[in-house]
Amino acid sequence: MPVTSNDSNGGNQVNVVVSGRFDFNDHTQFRDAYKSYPSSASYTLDMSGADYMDSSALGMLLLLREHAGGDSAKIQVVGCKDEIKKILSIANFQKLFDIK
Amino acid sequence: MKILLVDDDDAIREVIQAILKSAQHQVIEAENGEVAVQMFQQEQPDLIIMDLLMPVMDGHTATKIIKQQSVNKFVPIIYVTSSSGDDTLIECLNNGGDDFISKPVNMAILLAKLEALERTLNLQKLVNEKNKRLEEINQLIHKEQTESERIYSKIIHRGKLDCDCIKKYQKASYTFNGDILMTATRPNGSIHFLVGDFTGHGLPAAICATPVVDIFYQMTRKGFSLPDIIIEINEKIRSFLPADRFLSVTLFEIDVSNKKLKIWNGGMPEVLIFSNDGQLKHAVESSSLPLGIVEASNIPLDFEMIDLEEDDLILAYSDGVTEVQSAAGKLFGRNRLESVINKDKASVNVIDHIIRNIEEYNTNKKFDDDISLLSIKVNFTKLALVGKNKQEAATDGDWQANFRLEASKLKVGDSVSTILSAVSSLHIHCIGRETLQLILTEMFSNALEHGLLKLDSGLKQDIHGFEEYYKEKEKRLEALTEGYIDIGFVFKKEEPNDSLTIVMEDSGDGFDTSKLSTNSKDKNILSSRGLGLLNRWCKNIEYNKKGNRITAHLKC
Repeated sequence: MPVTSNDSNGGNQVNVVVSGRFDFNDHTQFRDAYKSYPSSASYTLDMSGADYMDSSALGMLLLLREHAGGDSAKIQVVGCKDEIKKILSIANFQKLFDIK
Repeated sequence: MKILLVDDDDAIREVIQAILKSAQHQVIEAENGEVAVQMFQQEQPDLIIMDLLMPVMDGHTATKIIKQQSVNKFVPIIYVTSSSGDDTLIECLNNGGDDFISKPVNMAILLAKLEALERTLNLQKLVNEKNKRLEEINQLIHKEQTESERIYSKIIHRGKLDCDCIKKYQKASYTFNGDILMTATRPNGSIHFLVGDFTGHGLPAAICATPVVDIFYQMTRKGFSLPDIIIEINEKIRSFLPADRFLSVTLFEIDVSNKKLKIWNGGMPEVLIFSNDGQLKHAVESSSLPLGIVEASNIPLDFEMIDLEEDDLILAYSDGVTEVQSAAGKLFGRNRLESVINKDKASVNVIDHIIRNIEEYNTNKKFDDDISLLSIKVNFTKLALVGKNKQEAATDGDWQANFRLEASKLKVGDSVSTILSAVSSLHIHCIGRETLQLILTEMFSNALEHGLLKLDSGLKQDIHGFEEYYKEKEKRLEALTEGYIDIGFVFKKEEPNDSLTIVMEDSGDGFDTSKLSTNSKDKNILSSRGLGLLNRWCKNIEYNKKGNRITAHLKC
């Protein structure tokens, strides 16, 4: 699965785009996609191209959250398909992320 | 290189041998194909130079035999031919040769060809060595994994409960299963269950699971309640695992005597409860984040209370069950699971039926995730027996314990919890941990607040005074430099009921115990609640004359 990222607003708004099957194999790519951006940035995770995510992928979201400042992180998760929404809601991740 | 030179013509052998020796090669000779095959086996040369037309056995036949005998090792064979050109090369390659040189032998060409083949041989040797090393490493890993798996299984399955109404099933996607599935009984006879799924699969997930297993068994055995266990697990995971590791888990308790199920779900699929006709009665959804992500204070510890009936079926499972895929990539799904249970009428063997259906569904037999299932077919008689057996097995007999808390100790930390965890390991089966904690807290507060700090509970007449009282308590505790509280426990195994006596004595001046009776009749809700509660839980309560010692005989 390819992970891409781009930024706007002088690097303060970071978009991370994932697609296909989002699982542990994407660990390195996913981390590389955000690690050069500051923790103060606002992050948007675009899941519209993702078909599936497993619990390792949930773990990767937590790593992004930690990178973005933990409790003060500003992360929006957008474009989730129903299957992915369900996985996020079973884990109650709406309490940690702004899921649109 | 060690080169086998095969030719029936002594003169040609002489010439080529000289060339080879001049280039520092070691040469062994054979005068026909048959001798060559023999020498190949004995001497194991690195390379062979082979004439084609020879008596006894020709070059092609010898090459064929030698190549068959050296499938795992590359031994280049150079033909010596009387012709040259493309056709010769093709014929040479077709017959198993690797290169050719035509007569009369040109020294420069032969040495150049040998050098080129030596480079290939060296490369081949390197690959072989690495392959061998990889094979060794692979075997070592396999051995370690098998051994670790054996140890891990022992750790995780030690609390096995002997009851045919509790069934478990686990299947690992790799060697290790990152799911945990545990059952244990509390000293009061109720049974704790835990079904959890760590992030990821395999060994990393299993490593994370080990301390959780320990917390669950230890705390349950000591009588802790599930909220305490949840908090402890959460803190443990947070304190020592990286941020992307968390535990989706459901914990529940079957209180056999009250026929209740107390259940909490953080990130696991719904726990399903069916009546004995196979109809779904309840589905307990995840109401919290999984454990190990946020601070314990942010975890809602609201347990659902469900009335259980005889022959109900409780089913907890990990998402590996519903995410099994068909050949076409479709998920097994929750609805299919429910209909299997419907058809099975929620029988005691329901897990067997679910597994059979999953296996039929998953035709390509590929499991991406760990699978765990736990079913409990409610049979109150059997479940009560499970709790009771464990209780008796853990009984140690009579014991006594005495503690002294000095002023310095009283000022810091939660003294009651300290004492409680100290005596927990001594097995008090007749009384729940929560009740014991309440009793100790009331006795301790009295000794500290009235005995040592000499606070007047009359202050607590109204809300304002209540606040005042606690402010004053803080102040006096801060200033406290001397004094102590002694706490003693005496536990006796007796028939028909065990007995537990708690004695608490403070170094204060005591109080006029004759005032007590009038005080407790005063139904003020803000003060003297403590003694009322104590009277309810204890068989009887005595004071010494001085009023600085209270003795409570507990109901067992």
